[in-house]
Formats: sequence, structure tokens, C-alpha cells
Amino acid sequence: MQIKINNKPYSCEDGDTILAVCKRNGISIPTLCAHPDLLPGEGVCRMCLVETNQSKCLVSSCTQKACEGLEVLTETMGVNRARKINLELLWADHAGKCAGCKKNGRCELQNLAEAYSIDEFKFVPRRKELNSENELDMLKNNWSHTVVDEKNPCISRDSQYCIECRSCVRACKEIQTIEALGVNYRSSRTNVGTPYEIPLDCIFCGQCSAVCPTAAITEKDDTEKLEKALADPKKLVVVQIAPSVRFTFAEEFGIPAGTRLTGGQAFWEGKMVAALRKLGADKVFDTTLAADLTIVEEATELLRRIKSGKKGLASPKRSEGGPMFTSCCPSWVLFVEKYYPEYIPDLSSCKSPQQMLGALTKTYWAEKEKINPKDIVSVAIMPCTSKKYEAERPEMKTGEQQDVDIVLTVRELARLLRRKKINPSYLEDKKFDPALGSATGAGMLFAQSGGVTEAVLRTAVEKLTGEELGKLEFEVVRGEAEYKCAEIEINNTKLRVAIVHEIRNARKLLGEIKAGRAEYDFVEVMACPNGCIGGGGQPQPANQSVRKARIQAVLDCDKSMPVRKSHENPAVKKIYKEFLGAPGGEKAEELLHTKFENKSKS
Amino acid sequence: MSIQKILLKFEPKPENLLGVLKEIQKENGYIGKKECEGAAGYFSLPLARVYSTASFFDQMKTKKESKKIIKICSGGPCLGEKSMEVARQIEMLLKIELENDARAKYKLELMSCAGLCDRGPIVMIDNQIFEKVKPETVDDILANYL
Repeated sequence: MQIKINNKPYSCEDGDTILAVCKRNGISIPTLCAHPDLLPGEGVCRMCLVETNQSKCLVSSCTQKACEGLEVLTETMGVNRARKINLELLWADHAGKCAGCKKNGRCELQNLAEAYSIDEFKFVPRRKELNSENELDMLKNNWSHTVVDEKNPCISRDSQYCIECRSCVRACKEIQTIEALGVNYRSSRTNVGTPYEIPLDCIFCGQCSAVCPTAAITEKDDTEKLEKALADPKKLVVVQIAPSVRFTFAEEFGIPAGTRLTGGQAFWEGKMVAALRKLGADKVFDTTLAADLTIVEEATELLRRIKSGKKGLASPKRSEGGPMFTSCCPSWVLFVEKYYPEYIPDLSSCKSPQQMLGALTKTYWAEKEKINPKDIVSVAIMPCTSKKYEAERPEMKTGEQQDVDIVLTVRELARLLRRKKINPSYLEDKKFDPALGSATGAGMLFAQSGGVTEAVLRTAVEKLTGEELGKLEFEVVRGEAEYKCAEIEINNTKLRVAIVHEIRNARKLLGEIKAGRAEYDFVEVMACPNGCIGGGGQPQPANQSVRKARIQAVLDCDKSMPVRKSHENPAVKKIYKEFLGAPGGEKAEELLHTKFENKSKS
Repeated sequence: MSIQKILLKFEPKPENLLGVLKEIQKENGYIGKKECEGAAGYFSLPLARVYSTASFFDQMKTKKESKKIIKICSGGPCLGEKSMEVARQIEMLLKIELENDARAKYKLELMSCAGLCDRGPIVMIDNQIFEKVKPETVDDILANYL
């Protein structure tokens, strides 16, 4: 089918919206509610209006399907005027406190307001412009329904910034199938929020904050906590950097996604360390090391389960037990605890890499350096809002201290650096502290969905067969498909693995397992699209193509690493030798493993 | 009637949600968190969706209302018959403000069209409807019915 846009013919398929055709062909149409990760828009923001020959009035291009003989004009006087008025109306309902806003300079609404030069404010009378009391009422009415939620550990919501684009509601419903947020009330009182204004009670994946065009939903800001810790001379600030963060951090400073060094190493890894040092961090460690530890522990656990024949508790239909689920994604763990508590025994008991490194810092490293663990402030730079919750979990303790004290997302760290006027691109590369700072390719793979499985396979297969792996890449577990399953043959036994990302797919998988239609030995679940690389705390905007570029960077980085198997990481070997004993041993059990509890309401 | 009894009158299909909510509103006077959770559990729907539905409709309350509510129609024909003047009169008589919660005893609200456009302006106190209310006659109504 052919349609004409701005008098030029373009081909399109049945069911395409005008917006989709325009995006594909590089014609820019402003929009605030049509996020590429979500289903076609609902036409709420009214910014994507276009003129067509089929209708007398303007239509929203995200809802209008292409049809035979359609002619579209995207930039006429009338269209631009209507868009500007709609934008002014959105602005009138928005707080407009740009200077102090978290999203200043990164806000889609602000960008559009600049592009359309909204400076007259016809609909919001400023204080001096108020002529009568009626207008004062109008102003009051605007703010009568503000809801602020700071009572959960991960996500802060402030409805005065909300433009009711519903992206968060749809992300929660379509990607994660949790539906913690809803659209409440109607017309001028419409308010996006939780039922009865209770504090957010969900899995804290942060996808709502990743799709929000304004600052209505953002990650909870812990930068002040970090600044306080840095300013305290008695405290030793130890920072760890998650595997996925180094691949995306540069995007916050305007470098395109997926950029990497010629060797394949992560582009800004050294600069990130340097920036953190400049901020005042005493030591910078690499979470990738703990990822390797996780792999070794998880592989040991998997082998133990395979050997004993009992793979944990599972649906009553199955005799031999259910699969082992990974437990490194805190959102997924919380999802199981809240919605599928019957699968808690099937979760791997390993802590996530963040918690493992936190625990090691306050025990192994503190002992070695003769530092009182009470003086250590353990900070983690994470791609994830849910990690904030995980760090606060009461069982994540060694002695009296929490393993990790402060968790910052990528966006928060970048914001802090900008506030401190530190631009990493001007800094000299620095290396991680060698004590807990060596990484392998397997650990790097943690950054994307499928990586944990691949890394576990590299270790488990070698341990099972006792021979060295020839080819390290397991292509069957790679790729961006949302539900991947594979069978790997080891010594005539088949290891059945499944990899899913996004909770909607996890739900699907659990349904299949419950119904007895699918059987697996090892299941990896990541709550965010494409794993941590698409996490809720990653730089915006994120979409399919950005995530694809990031994944490619991760895979290249794995290839470039000298050591690519977790159990061969020299630091890991050293830690086991000096401190932990054997994988799965008593000390490892105490420090690196955790328990889960049933958090379901029924 | 308890919530359970109301719920059991309906089949647990999503299309019956509104019916249940209406019934709860009628019996209970408002749809509180407990009732909402009950309905969400019965229909296996997320709480957020049930609350969105309940809060969308003006006729349903999600909070307990201890005040006496006076409603004035804000439909076009009623506005044409000067319903806002009636509202001003009530504001003056009861010393309250439209859509303002500050006063303890009464609350004056606007309501959407009640379908009695030829007999406007319409004033509603509790569930009683008064037709063709004039600013001059409104004090009578208030004196008799509050």
C-alpha cells in the first residue's frame, strides 16, 4: 500500500499507523505518549496531530491507521498551531519548576516547549498577571490534586509534574503485568497513581520511571546520602560498579549507545572509575567480580541439584522437581515472593552480585585491610531502581551492617557529576582497585538477558565433563527473543534451559511450567527488557535499537576479555583460597547466600 | 449486607465489576479500600484497575463522606438557567465554598447532567432532587431539608 506524506509517496503495510510510517522514514512528529516499547499509542497527548485528506479535522497520527489513498501533511500552519495550543495546555497543568527539577535538560516536555517556544503561558496566569479572584481559583484548582509518594525505597512520584500521558500505566500493565499504577478520577481531576494513594507496592523494576517523559516518576534520589558520606572524614567510601553500567554511562553525557573502544572494552569504564575517584570515593571495586562469584556458586548449586536428582520443590504434577530459577534480579525475586510464593524453594539461594560484593567488602576486604566494617560506607552504582530495595532488605546483613548502604542508579550518578561540574570525558582513565576489581567476560555477560545462563554454562559444563570447553559462545542462548529455550547436551544428559526477560514472559513461563507443558532445569529471569541493559535506572531514552547497540557492546567486551570463564578469575580463586573455602561451603553459604520469604497477601 | 454477599450475587466476570461497585456504593455509602480489595480478589483483577473504575464515576465515592452533600447541576441548560447564581446563594447562606472541603458540616459540589434539563436548575440534597430552583427559593429548601 502506498500513502503520501508531505506529497512524497511511502510504502506501508496494513495496520501501520501514520506515526509508525513517519518514524520509519525519518519524518519527525512530536509525541509524548507513544513510547516505542509500548503498544501503539492511545492518542492521549495530542501532540502528534496531522492533517489528512480523509478527515476534516486534525487526527492524531499514533491512532490513525494508514489506508489506501491517504495523504498526510505533517507540518502545516494549522497543525503547528494546534500542536502549540495543546502543548500550552499540557504546560498549564504541569508544575513548570524546571530549574530545580531532576529531569532538567532531559525532559521531553521541556524539549518540546523549547522547540515550539512556549513562552506566553496563556492558560496559567502567573502571579502578577492575575486579574480577578476567579483566576486565583483556576490556579488553585490546578494543584488541588497533587500526590507525592516518597514512602517506598525506590521510586518517587510527584503528580504535579504529570501530564497524564499514561506511559507508566501502560508499561506497568503491558511489560510487567503488575498494574500497580492506574488512572484515577477523570477530566480535570485525572490523576495517575496508586489505589487509595497507598505507597507504591510493586516489584520496583522502575520501568515506569524509564518511560516517563517528565519528572513525575523518577528514581528516588540518594545522591545527597552519598555526598554526606563522602564529606564525612571518618567514613571510608567504597564504590562498586555494576557490569551493565559501564556500557550505558556515557550516554548520559551525549555519547551514542553502543560506543566502545577499538579493542572492544567498555567505552567509559576507566573514566567512570576516574570520575568516582574525583568525587572522593576511597576505593572503586568491580561488581563483575561478584558476578563471577555468583556464577561459581550458582553453578555449584545447579550441579548439586542435578546430581541429587531433586531440583527443589515444584508443581505436584512433576516427579523430579522443578527448575532452578536465577535470583540475581531483585524485581524477579520480589515478583516470586509476592505473586508465586510456591516457587520460592526453586529460587537459587545465591545473593545477587551487588550483595555479594557488599558482604565481601565488609568482611574479607575489611579483615585484610584491618578496617572496622562500621567505618565502611558501601555504595553501589546500579542500572536498577529495585536494587535500592534489595540493599534495604533486612536479611541482607553481615553482622550488624547492611551489606550495601547506598545504591545510586546511572541517572543519579550522572546528575551528581553534572552538579559537581565533573565531566568524565576530560578525565584520565583509571583502573579498578585490584583487591576486588578483576573481571571476566562471563561476568560482563550479566549485563544482558541470557548472559547469566551462558556464564553458568561455561562453568557448569566444564565442571561436569572435567574437560576444557572448546567453544565458549553458546549462541543458542543469545539473541533478543523474549522467551528462549535450549537443550545443551553434556555427557549424554540434556540440560534444558530457558531464558526470559520482562515479567509478562516470566508469567507465561510459570504458567507453562505449572500446566506441565514445559520442563526445564535452569531458568534465567530478568525483569527488564533485555535484562539490566534495559534497566529502570538506565539513561533515557531507551528503546529496542538502543538496547540492541548496548547488547552488542557487551558481547564485544566479553570477546575482548583475556579471561572469559568465571571460575578462572584469579581474584575469585584467591578469595576462595584465602577466605571462603570451597564453593558452596560453610562460609560461602553464610556470606553469599540468602533466604526468601513469602510476601503474598493471600 | 456484607461485601461477600454482594459479590456472590454476581458472576466473577470483569463486565460485572461496575454492577458490584454500584451495589457496594448503595449499601455502604462509599467504596473503601477493604471493599475494593474484596472486589479485586473476587474478580482476580489488579487493585489499581478496580480503583480506577470506582474513582472514575462521580456517583461513586472512594472516601467516607460524613458531610451533607449539596449538588448543583453543571450541565449546559442548568447553567443557562443560572444555576451558578443558586450556587452563590447557597455559598452565602451556609458560608461554604464550592468544591471546598474546609467546612465541617456541608459540602457544595457540582454534578454532571442528571437528565432533567427541562426542569433546571437542579439541586440535589442526599438523594432528593429539587427542580427549578431559584436563588430566591433556595433558602426555603435549605431550611427544610438540612
